[in-house]
Amino acid sequence: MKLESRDADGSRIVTVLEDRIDAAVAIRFKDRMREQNADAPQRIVLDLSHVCFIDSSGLGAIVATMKQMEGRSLELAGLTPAVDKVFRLTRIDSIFTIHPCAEAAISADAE
Amino acid sequence: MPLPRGEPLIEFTCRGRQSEIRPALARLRGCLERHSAGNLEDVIDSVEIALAEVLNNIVEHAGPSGRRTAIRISVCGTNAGLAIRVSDDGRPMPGLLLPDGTGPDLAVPLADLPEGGFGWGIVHALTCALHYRRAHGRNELALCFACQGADGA
Repeated sequence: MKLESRDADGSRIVTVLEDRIDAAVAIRFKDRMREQNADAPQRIVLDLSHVCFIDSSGLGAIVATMKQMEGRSLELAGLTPAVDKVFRLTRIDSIFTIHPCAEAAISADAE
Repeated sequence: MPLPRGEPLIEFTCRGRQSEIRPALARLRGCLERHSAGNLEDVIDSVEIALAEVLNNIVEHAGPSGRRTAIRISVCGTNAGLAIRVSDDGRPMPGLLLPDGTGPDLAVPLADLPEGGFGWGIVHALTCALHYRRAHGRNELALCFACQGADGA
């Protein structure tokens, strides 16, 4: 599970460098997110622009990640069509702030 | 463009283990992409998403531990779109019924948000017909997907 992190303007952008978040990697994803973001600023943006497929286990892992953020906020960016479809069908899109891309997430915070 | 009808576009078997799900989905997707000439991307996404849930469910629930379920998958073009049959020799569905598509309640405090229970809701939402039966010691699931542009759609 490859995750790349960078901090910009008080936010941490975590880019998932995998094309799938599915049952095979869901637990690893959740664990890596917890390990890598222990020192993160208040706001974390998960950039999913490289992820072309997610299943309900992957979706559950993203919800679990949000719950383990201990006061930090988790926002999403760059949902590809199939990923966006799963978020909408389950209405999980309603519990996240979702940005078109990571850059938009950074500028949205600066406003 | 309608998909060819009649003979299955693809038919194959796999075992009910986690490591076989990604290859099975890739095989299915590859077949549909070859037959659709690039104009059914949205339906192919729906098929991959729904079949992932069905196969995950078989792997997680249908087989006693230590025994690997045998899964058969076939895909046919129909007047309305696509018909996919998935059968497995694992445990029957509880009550011999398909779980309904009611997703978990999201109107709850953050700490109580559900981390699962979305799978069958996704499958119901993506299919235009969904049928389950238990026959000859196997679970048989039939999923229909509508394709815009198919005859009768």
